[in-house]
Amino acid sequence: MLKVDNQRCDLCGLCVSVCPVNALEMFEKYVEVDQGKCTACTKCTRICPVRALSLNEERGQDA
Amino acid sequence: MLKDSYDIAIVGGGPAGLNAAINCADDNISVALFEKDREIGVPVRCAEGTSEEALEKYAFVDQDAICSTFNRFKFVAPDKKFVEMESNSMRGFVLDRKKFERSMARKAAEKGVQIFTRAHVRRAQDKGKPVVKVNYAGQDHTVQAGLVIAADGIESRIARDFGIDTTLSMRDTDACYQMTLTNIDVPEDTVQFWFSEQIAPGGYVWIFPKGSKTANVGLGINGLYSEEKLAVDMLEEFVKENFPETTMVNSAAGGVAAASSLKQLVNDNFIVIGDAAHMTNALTGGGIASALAAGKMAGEQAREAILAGDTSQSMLKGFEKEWHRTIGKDYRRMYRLKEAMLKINDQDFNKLAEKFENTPPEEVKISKLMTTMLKRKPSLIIDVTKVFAGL
Ligand SMILES: Cc1cc2nc3c(=O)[nH]c(=O)nc-3n(C[C@H](O)[C@H](O)[C@H](O)COP(=O)(O)OP(=O)(O)OC[C@H]3O[C@@H](n4cnc5c(N)ncnc54)[C@H](O)[C@@H]3O)c2cc1C
Ligand code: SF4
Ligand code: SF4
Repeated sequence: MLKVDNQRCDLCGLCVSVCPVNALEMFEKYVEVDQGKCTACTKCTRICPVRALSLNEERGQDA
Repeated sequence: MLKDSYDIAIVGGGPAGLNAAINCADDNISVALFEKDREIGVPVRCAEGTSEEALEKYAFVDQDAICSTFNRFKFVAPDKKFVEMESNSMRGFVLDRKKFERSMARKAAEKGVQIFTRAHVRRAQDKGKPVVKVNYAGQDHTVQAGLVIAADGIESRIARDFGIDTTLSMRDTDACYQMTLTNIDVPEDTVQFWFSEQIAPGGYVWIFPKGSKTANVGLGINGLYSEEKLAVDMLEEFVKENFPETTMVNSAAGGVAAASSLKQLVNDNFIVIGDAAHMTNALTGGGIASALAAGKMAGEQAREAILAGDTSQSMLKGFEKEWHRTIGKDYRRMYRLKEAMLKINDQDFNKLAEKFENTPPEEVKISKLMTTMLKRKPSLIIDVTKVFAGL
């Protein structure tokens, strides 16, 4: 499951731009994750400039 | 008051959306611009530097929004040797983007554009038609549109509604962090770029002075390296080491599309511009000038389409072609240069700085720097020659 640490997240929107399955959406004050769509590819966790995203169970990987 | 329908609906109130609005509105065309944030112009996730030429060509510049003017460029190598370049043809401004965007919003409003803030567009297409579903001031609304312009920045999802995939690859993405520092002692007429694999792999550190001993200091890390090096940590380290006496007044994370612009920029009843269309200079990460340029081109095209009663893809292709023929073409070259730069290491930068250390700034040219640097990498010479030959 992808978790967003709202204390750390700065709302920059970068994670949305790399998500290949459109599982993320920016709101004015938070990022929303559609867990049903997320494939746990790790792209967003790797790009976030402040490491606000984490996956607590590894599934597939997609370079 | 939000109406049930508009000729043109623009999603996003950054430089791209605002300039599109200014250029498409007139007495016979109704335009709505939706911005999800509370205010136009904030938060600022940008170093705010842009070229004077581009600003004058594509937008209206409120003098109040200009913080400083630069014509000197300082490139600092990992070992801190540096090259300075002076060029009046590359003169630029560091803006106050909040003031800049506010003045653009005023101008759009004067032209009759209705601007809605706290207006989050969730979708912009329904059964092939441009229908905007927007949550405005806490309530859901459905608005019909003749044509939608997506200017929704790096976080863009709207183009995906119209079948255009805007997903960025890791290699074409830079993870950034920036601080605005005061009590910083840097010359006002010089923008600085520091290179170092340790601090900003695949990217660089920028120092853009804003006057009154204030500057935007930030860095970008290419997506290939952003997992091992966290932008925020790297910047803190950089500032501690190089500018320990400064005070931070603002900070922000951000993302840059170090890509070549999307090939497909239009569909039936739809245009995408700015960061949402990856219209950034992949080498520098600059996107204000291109957002303004694309806003102008797209706004004019949208206006023409509405007046002609034809918003089909083939009509809107005029914009796509114009973009790719002009700035899009330059940016494809910049993308090739970025790809070449990803192969340059710290030693290459040190050698380059050493070579130009004593050259007077007026005699240093970007093309000379590039070709000299790449001489050390024979495999890259062909790539770069192609860039300068315009292939
Ligand atoms: C750290 C950093 C430093 C930079 N420095 C420079 C620089 O010095 N010079 C330069 O030229 N460029 C710089 N850039 C790039 C520049 O900031 C962008 O290219 C530019 O802002 C793009 O303008 P835009 O209008 O396309 O998008 P944006 O300015 O991002 O505007 C998009 C707007 O759309 C809104 N939005 C998004 N989705 C929705 C929705 N669904 N509904 C309603 N509203 C929505 C957003 O809230 C936002 O206000 C920098 C970028 C970063 C991250
Ligand atoms: S990339 Fe990180 S900081 Fe930026 S919006 Fe996503 S979670 Fe937040
Ligand atoms: S892990 Fe991959 S699929 Fe899941 S939200 Fe992040 S980028 Fe999207």
